[in-house]
Amino acid sequence: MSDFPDFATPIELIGQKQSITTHKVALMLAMTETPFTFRIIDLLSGAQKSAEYETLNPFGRVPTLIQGDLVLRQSPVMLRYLARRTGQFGYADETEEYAVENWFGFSYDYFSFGLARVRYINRFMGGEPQHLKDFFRPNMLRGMDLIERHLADHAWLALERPTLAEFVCHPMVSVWRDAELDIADYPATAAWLERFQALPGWHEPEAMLADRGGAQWQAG
Amino acid sequence: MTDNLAYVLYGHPRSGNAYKTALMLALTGTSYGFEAVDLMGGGNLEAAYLEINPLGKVPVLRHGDLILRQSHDTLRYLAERTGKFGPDGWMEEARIGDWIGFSVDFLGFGLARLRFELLFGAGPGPVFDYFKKAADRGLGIIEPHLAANEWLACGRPTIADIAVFPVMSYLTDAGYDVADFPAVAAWQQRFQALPGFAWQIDLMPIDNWPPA
Repeated sequence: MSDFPDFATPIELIGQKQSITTHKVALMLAMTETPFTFRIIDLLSGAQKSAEYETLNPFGRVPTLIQGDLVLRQSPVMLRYLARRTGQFGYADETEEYAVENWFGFSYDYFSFGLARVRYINRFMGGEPQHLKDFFRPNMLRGMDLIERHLADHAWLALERPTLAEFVCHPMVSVWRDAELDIADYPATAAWLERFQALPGWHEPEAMLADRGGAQWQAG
Repeated sequence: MTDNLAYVLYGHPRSGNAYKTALMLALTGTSYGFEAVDLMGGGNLEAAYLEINPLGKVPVLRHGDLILRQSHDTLRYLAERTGKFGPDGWMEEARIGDWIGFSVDFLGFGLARLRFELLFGAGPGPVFDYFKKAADRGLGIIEPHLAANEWLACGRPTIADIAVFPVMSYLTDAGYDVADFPAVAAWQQRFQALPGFAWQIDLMPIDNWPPA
């Protein structure tokens, strides 16, 4: 594939400090030592519905990653792109590729459709409605149970080294407090959280993005 | 890579995700064996199947020793193997990625849930209303997009269309009127005219269909 932009072209990440999907990509950028600027879009004020942002991202979601003419609107595509460009946290062959990719689907099934919803309701909707949390909790708990059993005999999720699978799942699990979980119930997962956080370049994502002091997205 | 290994699809005609993989196999003219997984009877949670997919989900696509357990991975894999319906370069990969994400965000976590709630779940109620917001937003995005574009990404049919078609075919089951979405309906007609197109039950044949 030859239509890569020059990787020296500045990268801008437009996202939200509290958004888990933004965290995934911001951590990948930071931990591959890829320079980027961060621009904040305030979802709670509806700035993603502005005409300017809609042109960049008609789906009204965050984050969006821009490098030259390339506009990426899906975090899995961003992670794959950055792995390919930096040669880090990716896969060496097809068997590795699908071992890693399985965790993207896992994260959709149990975290996007479980843990992340419970956390969102608690953090941004005042903890209500309870019936929605009840709806998502079984999936969250099943996901935690599956990942705990897996990590009981694996240091890392997909391969013998940290990969994109970690960038997909770690930012999800690390918000366990807001999802009404106690990480002490999941000792292998707790140890894996610590291992990932000990890697060079890791920072607590909200604090890291605040430090980057992103300009606010100006609507209109 | 030799390509004479057999493909085996594990799925069920009721699964929209399995239908994505089945469509890709059919539209690329790839021959495959089909193993029905009895979702209704819990066959997906039996030990033999859990060995193939510990998460107990369908589809699984087996190609020789390689086992793919995510429908969107099967699409990308088959696109690479067959040279059909895939991206040519990163600009295209990015646009195809948009719609694969759309199929998760607004269909998997929206429209498909509505159909599930109406057919197999609690019916109308607060959970239905919650997912209806996402489904409505998704339809509000895809209808104008298809009014202005013949195909979802890249100006030709791609795995983006194949990822989105199965759940969009549930519009009626999800409580919508297709007549309200003329551009979607016209795209569905174009899609169904692609060589090799077939409905899920013909690609994943099982006895006793439709279930009583």
